[in-house]
Amino acid sequence: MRTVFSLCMAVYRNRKIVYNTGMPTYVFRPCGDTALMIQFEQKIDPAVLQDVSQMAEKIRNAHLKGIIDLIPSYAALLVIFDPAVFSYTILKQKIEVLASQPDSRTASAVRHVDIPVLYGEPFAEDLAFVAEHAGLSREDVIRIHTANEYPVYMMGFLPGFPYLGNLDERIHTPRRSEPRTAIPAGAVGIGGAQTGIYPMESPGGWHIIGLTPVKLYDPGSGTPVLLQSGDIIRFRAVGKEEFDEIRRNGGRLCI
Amino acid sequence: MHITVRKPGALTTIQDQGRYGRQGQGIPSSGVLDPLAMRIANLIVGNDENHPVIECIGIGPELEFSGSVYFTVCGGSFRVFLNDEEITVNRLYRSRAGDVLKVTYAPHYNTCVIAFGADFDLAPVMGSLSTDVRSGIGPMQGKKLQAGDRLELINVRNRLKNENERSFPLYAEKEEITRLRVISGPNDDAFTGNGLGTFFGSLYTVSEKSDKMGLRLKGPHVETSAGNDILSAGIVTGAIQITPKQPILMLKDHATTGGYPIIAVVISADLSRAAQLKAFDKVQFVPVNMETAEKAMQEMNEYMDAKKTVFAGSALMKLLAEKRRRK
Repeated sequence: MRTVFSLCMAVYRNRKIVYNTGMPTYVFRPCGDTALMIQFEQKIDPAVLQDVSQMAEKIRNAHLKGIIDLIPSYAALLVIFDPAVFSYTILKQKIEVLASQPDSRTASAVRHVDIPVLYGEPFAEDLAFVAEHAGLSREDVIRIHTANEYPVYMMGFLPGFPYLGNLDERIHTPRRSEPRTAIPAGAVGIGGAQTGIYPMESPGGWHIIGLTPVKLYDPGSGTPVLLQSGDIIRFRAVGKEEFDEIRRNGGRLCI
Repeated sequence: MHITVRKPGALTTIQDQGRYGRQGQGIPSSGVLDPLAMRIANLIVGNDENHPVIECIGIGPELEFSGSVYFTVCGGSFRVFLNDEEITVNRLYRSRAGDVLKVTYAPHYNTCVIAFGADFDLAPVMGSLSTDVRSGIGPMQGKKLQAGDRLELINVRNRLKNENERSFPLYAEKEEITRLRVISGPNDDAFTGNGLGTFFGSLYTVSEKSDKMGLRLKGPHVETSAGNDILSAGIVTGAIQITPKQPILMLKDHATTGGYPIIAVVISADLSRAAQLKAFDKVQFVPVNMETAEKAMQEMNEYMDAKKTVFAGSALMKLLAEKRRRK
């Protein structure tokens, strides 16, 4: 009996109601009176990412008039709403109904995106540093970096910046002690256990190992942002010629 | 007709309610810093509440009119001059060709907006006329207004009813301590009891390093239960992040996501007062529940609706509105 009680208390403390239905567990947390956060298990995990994407898709497909914006992240979905249309409590109820519906099957249409990268000096200054830190050759670093598939866990920080997971541990590299004041658009970098691409010129502390000619962010175009959370990215090493060719064509990539 | 920017001021931009629907792609909403100022300005000149306006932060611009158009300056009580004659904020005016409008400065307020009874001849960028200077998104190539810029106005509205009634009371004078109402969460579970006590029990001072991305606050350290890192997640305007150094109250140009725990979020009815805070102002955060927040916004909306009726209405409508108010 005591075990049951302490188990209940543990569940209560975590504010999670765990039913044994195989449904993902989540909690609602208020973000003022204009946003609601749906928190899933707080860890970086492809299964949690899937839960977040499914929830976002269900809400998006319901086309609720008062929903202003959705911000998916590693293990949460922020829903920004118009309190003049519905209250926090009403929205919570609507989302619970949507969440209880079966996951859509079409959601498995995950987009795979190949990002061409021109690795190494003189286009990117830090490949040698990353290789030395890892005790590998520069070729090994490129081979390892192009081998994995990287899920886009979330977008943020800058317009069009993807937070990628699944970087091979062998090339994890601590951030630069002194961030650079300007990293060019298209720079492919490693910062700790993360890898990513700078969509626009920005200061940054990551080690730059390559440059992509692809525009991840193009404010003037019909689709200003190339990637979205849930995409799967693969890096592909290219030579200078192909790099220039893609750049000449405006850095557009058809997905 | 058009408006010429003679002097741009400190940070003068075109804004509307914000660029929504793309924050999931990392594109900040930006938008007007003081939403109440935009609403009242647009009601005065007969626009929809979310019509684009010129936003002034710190020091306002000097503008020249090429013709006649209704306009108003609303929000913080800036000192404003029309051809060197001082005019009042939150009131309706009409320009003549050659008039010069000078929006100067307000010792106790941070921002105001200028609205016109006309449309800007500008194309929305990603669905909005808000300017995000940091990301370079928006009209005027995503930049703040520069001396010599020319803003074309089209669909100039001719006659407004009840010209003399079209005004709002001045903003209340700032008290020594600005009390902002907040709702706890979403990450209040990342703090110790002591930390929460410190945050809600202390006065914070607005740092001079604040900008439109956020108000940096100086004050007692808020204790967390397990460091200052959480898994990065979405941010809403008004959120108060606790970084290892200081709390930051997120204003309109904030990034879409962040990795510091959010202890509380300012309620929407108080965002206007948060927007008016200046360096060295003192602020205290008062926890309220969701019902209080909703009621506060509802009351604000009802007040706006009543004003709208008075502005647009006939004599009979006015009488009825007055009667309802007395009740």
